[in-house]
Amino acid sequence: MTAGYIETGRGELLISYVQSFATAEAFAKAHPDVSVEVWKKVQPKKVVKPSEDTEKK
Amino acid sequence: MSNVLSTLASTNAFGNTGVQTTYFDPKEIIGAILVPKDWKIDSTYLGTLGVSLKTNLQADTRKAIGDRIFPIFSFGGVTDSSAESKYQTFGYGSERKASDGKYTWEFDLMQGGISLIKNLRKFNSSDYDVIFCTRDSYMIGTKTGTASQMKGVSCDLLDVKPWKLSDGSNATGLKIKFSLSLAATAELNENVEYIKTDFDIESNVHGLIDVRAYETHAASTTKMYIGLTTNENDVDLVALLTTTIAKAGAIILKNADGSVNTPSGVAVGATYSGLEITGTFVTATSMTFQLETPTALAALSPTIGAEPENGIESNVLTVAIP
Repeated sequence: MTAGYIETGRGELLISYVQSFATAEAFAKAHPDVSVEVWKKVQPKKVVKPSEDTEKK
Repeated sequence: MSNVLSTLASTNAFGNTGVQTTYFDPKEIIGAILVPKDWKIDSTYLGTLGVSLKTNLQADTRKAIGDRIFPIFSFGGVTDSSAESKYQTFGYGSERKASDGKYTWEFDLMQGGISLIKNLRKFNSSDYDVIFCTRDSYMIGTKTGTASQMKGVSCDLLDVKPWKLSDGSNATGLKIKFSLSLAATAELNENVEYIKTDFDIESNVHGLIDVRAYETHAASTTKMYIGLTTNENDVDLVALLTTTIAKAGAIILKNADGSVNTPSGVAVGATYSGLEITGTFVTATSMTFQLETPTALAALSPTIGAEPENGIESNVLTVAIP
């Protein structure tokens, strides 16, 4: 696999390009032959900030 | 001895004549490797006990022009047109040698068609040296002047003759002629250097195969459709290799100004055969497509064109963006 790309089963897609799709639906519309799992795989991990309550505890 | 003007350097005029039970007695030459003038095999190239020789030779077949070596095999026979040595006979009958004969060998090529002739003819009169390979896996070259080094034998003329028609009694009309230089006589005798390999050279060191890149459908500002077939057999490499070759690391895409264009996707074509390349392509420009270098392709995982396969090299295809 080429650095910066993700395998799709048919080839490779640039990760930053896949990430440019705001929703899985938009990605699926542009790439109907590629699984939306590809889009999901490259989504940045959400950082959950501890709430103030949690910090107080 | 210091260097003195008008004084010839001399060496002792003798050589020991003991003969051992095994000795280098060149057998039939079954192939040759064309090598650049500055190419050489040294102790680093060989590795300990010669362990690196095969992989270095294989790697050299995939290098860029200037460093690449070109193996030619399947020699089926030879016509030795070498000149005889010339002697002068004096009035009283004594003889002295005037000059050594010059080597000229012409080999029949058993395999390879017009495409091979076309490519080999590009070497006609070119400035490459030659390593000869024998049936019993010897590589024959010459000394470089530095200890433990071997280089190719110098060649005045490498000529691949135009093909001739088969008349039903002959199978091939492909011939390659090596007219070695005046220096080559000494290079192959007094200064000969050779390596007995522990592998079959012909089946381990292969020349590159040309790959034809072409458009299977007109490009747009976001899509490009590229077919890849071997030059002579028309083997569809995308159908054969699928996702092994449908990757960004296997191609080089350039914009009209020569800058590299990073495609957003490379896939096996769904609508059209060949590769389907997705990206941002500037309208009304001419871009270029080519496969990565043979060295880079062989370094991919999975590899493309690494031994035991032949390496591959594509043309540079100009793609017009509407």
